[in-house]
Amino acid sequence: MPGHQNRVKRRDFLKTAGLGVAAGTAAIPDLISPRALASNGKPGANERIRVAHIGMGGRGRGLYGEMRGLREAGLCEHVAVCDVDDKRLEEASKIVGPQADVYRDYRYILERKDVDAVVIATPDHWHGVQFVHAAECGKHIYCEKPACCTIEEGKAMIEAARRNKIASQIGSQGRSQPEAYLAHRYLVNGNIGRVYRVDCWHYPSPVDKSHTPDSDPPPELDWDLWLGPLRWRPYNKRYLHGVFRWLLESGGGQIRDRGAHVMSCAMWWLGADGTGPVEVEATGTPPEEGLWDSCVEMKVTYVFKNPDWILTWNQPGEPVPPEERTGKEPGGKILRPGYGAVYRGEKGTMVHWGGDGGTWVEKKVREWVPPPGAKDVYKSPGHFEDWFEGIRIGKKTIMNVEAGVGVAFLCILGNLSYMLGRKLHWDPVKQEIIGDEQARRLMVRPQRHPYHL
Amino acid sequence: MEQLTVEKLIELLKSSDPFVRRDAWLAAGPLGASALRPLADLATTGELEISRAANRGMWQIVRYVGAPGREEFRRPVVETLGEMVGDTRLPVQLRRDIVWMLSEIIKDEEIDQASALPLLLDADLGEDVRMALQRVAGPNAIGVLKAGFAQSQGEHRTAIACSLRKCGIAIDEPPCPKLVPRKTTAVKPVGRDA
Repeated sequence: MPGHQNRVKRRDFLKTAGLGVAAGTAAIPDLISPRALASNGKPGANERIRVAHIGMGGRGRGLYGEMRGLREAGLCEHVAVCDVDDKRLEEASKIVGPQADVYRDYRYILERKDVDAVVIATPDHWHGVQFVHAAECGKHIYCEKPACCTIEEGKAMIEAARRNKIASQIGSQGRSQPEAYLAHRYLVNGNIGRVYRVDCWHYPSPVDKSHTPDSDPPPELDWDLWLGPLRWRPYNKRYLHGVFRWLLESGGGQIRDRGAHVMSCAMWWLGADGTGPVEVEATGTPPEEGLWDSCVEMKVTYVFKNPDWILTWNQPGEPVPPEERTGKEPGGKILRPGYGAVYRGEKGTMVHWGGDGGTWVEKKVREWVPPPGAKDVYKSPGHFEDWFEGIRIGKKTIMNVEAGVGVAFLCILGNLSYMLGRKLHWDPVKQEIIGDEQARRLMVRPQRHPYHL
Repeated sequence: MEQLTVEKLIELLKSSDPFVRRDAWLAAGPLGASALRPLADLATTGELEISRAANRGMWQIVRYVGAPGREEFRRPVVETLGEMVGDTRLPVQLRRDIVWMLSEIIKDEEIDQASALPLLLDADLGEDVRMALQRVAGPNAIGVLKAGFAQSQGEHRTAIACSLRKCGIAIDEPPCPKLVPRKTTAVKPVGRDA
């Protein structure tokens, strides 16, 4: 993928890291003091970061691949892999190599003092708990998106990261893509005027038509550990792998999967991290049958105040056909036109496609030449590289846990409004639902022992 | 759709057309408490997809009556679910669902400690009841957790201690084992010399 072509040389990375400090301090305050990192026994500038991977399914293996540049530059080494599925664990061991220890239970990794950082790529219902546990054990964390499944989890993650002074990066890597930088810069310089509305589109979720009954789990799978924080239920093969995405409890559907990408771009580009909507209203169409229960089609409207703007999530919405490309553009050819967003400003519009590891903007944005005096914006050196800067020098990362949780809250609130069939009122400062006791209860989902916050 | 009755709802949920079943459970909310028992029966006896649809109808009722301003619908639903959760003729997994339904809409003052404690100590339901009480987290819910802590043993006692801490109650022992690894694998690093 274009965003991961950066085969970073060690010297180049450190040089970029220095620039990152300058840009980072201009835009966002530092979260982590370098002294705190050093005092915590974390590696110095010339030491490799010792990384362990928790969850080595499709996405986990993908993330391992995306760290290739850093690995080849000698900036990190992979010391352990973990998965609750023995077949996947064995496959991961083959890929990562014999130097990496193998575990079923991620807590063996967390108790190791020689592990500096973890990459969490488990199903979404594990993110909050594993993030908090890893932070409490002093590990730096790269955690796949969405950051969390409940409001309570998100708040706990932020608190754990702050208290333990760890560097975190949530895997909404769209922010780190080359054309995301161009879009951000284009908007910040007022090319479409004040943005008053962003309309996201995404193709619908699938329906499980398999009529699959519950059964015994396969011998290679630790079903108890896969379920983890979720309440107990019998195994059904339509829960996994990958398809956990279509359960409201675990994956949350398209809105929590790709919404955590597309809406992440909106929050970043509009400078809306740290803010939130005051109203959320969703409607949707559930699947007509099957185990999966996330929306097939969906429309969510988020109303923001001060500044006033509206964000909408639409399945399918009104997709914009992808533009023709040669492949030589910064982001290459548009590989995933099935989702994106239209930004509506007082002076014009801007379209982007994708929003994750592939983020593409329209030609006028790519070709815009900043005039003298134009504002510049932070340019990520790559999503993992940005995280490593956070680890090494304490810079606030581009998709830090506060930002990641903020975006996840949008997804969660959208699903809650859909589930309850009514508009929700949200206090973005206290981060609480107002005036609806049942909805307030649903901000919390107590977790099964001992897999809890 | 014509005026929906409980009988009509059940008839529609038995349809062979999945879209008819879906539209039926989506409309179940206003039927309230009167539909819960028939839905539970259908969830228990129906073919897989019919059972799922019936179960979703129960949830739809809970989400409907929990809305602000629907107190007169909510209270009878809580009462009916409270009876059903103790009905051992219902499948355990459905009773667990009912515990979670109650966790969304029951008021703390509606929790009867004498009735709730046996459920917290129940081998099949106890873990779900613990989580539900933690979600409610009012004085009555905490009272049940305290009583359960005093009367339980082993891992369940440890779990209840964690819930009480979550509710702001100081408990010294047993410690929370959440960070203690327990599960090992037979997989060995591929290619590593023994």
